[in-house]
Amino acid sequence: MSAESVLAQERKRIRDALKLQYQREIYHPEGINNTGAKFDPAVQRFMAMRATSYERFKPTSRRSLLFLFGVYIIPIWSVVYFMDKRLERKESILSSGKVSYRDRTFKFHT
Amino acid sequence: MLMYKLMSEFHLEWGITLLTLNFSYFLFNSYQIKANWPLSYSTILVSLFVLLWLTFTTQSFILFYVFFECSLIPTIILILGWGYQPERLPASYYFLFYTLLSSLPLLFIIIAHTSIYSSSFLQFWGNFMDKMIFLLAILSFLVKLPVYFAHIWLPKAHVEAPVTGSMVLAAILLKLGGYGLYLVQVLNIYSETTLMGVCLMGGIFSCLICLRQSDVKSLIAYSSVAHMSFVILGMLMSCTYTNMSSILMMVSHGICSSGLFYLSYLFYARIWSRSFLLTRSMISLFPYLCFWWLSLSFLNMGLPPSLNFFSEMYFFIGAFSLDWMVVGLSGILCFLSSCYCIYLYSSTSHGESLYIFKLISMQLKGMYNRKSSSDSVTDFNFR
Repeated sequence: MSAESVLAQERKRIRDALKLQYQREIYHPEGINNTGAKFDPAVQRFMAMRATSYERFKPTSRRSLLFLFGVYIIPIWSVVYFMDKRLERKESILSSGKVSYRDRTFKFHT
Repeated sequence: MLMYKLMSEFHLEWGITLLTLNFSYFLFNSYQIKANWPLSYSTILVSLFVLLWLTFTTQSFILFYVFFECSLIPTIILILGWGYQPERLPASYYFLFYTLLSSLPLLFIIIAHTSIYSSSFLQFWGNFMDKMIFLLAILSFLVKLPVYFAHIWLPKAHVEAPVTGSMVLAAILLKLGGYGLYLVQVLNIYSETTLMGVCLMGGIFSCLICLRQSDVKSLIAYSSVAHMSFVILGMLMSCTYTNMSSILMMVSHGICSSGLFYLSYLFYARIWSRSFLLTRSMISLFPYLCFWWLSLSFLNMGLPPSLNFFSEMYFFIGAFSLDWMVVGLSGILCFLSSCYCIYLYSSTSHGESLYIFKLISMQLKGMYNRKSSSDSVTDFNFR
């Protein structure tokens, strides 16, 4: 047997032992008065990691700049730019009197 | 005069006052709450409700500002005193300093205006305003609502607060910002397309963040950011329908969001976890409770005939008159908000439970071994 297969078998043995221990504890008939779910340190670590992600965040310059521009600045700027252009065009048409009274905006409400 | 006309038409101040009073009446007449709450907790809640009532009924802008800031104090005491995780310390700092620092410009503007015109009534503000001063004046309300990019305090404060703190924060305290914006929006003669763009895209980003949350309370908190972006958009558009939409959204969000926070507490009281990994398949254990989850999730996503639906409908009517781009992006926002509501309900109520046999036997044993009506897993621990 190769060294890798021996290690794989050892890891499987450890995993099965942990699974069996977990299932014994979770379904133990005498442990019925424990309220809620069994305390799982892995789940607790995961929740703590998610809760404190702001404090542990370490930005790298290239990816942070890419995210900042690609996700925040460029989409918001493009929305604002096109909205401004459309509203200015509308305003210039309205103020120059090219829209008839019948086709006015806010026709049915203010 | 326009402000008084709007107030008399919509009765906003009395609507929110009634909401506050009903909320406090409901809380204080629950027999379990009377039995289990210590005097300090009740005192802090009573003082918070009194301050909120005063904030919504005062006619002077200076007093409105004073009560607006004073409502921070009992909220922070609630979070620090009765929150149950160490993360409540940074959460209270974020909550306090975001609100305090953003409202300083408003204080200076009020003082400057009062010293020049010897009055704090809003009718005289028109001569004083230009675009930058208007933006500085509404900054505190935008942070309170909150607008995206100034929203960091909200998930922290909502998650770390006890259940009553979260409910009051979601139902009423966020609406302080909306009410303040409603008071000054008569002076909005500027086309704030930048702020509208930030609100639209910010709402969409909040919905996407909701879809990757692993904490139930955190998802509900981020959903508040998405809904409040609708409120800000409606106020900025200065259109009757969008104003009505904002007001309806504030009322409906206050009901839905606080209800969802309470339901998340009911799960937490049984599972002792807010994680989506652990709160699964609850419909097998608590079918009637999951009915309420379903109802509130549907109300939150704007299913007819909920108030949220009418709010979104009025918003689209106003948005159609303004610009098609706003309609398109708002439609995406509505769709994504439905997505996270369905995600919230399906993740908590359905799916495969890891602990279903243990929880069933725990519930059954609790039922048979109960000595008195207060000795059960449903005890309210004012958390």
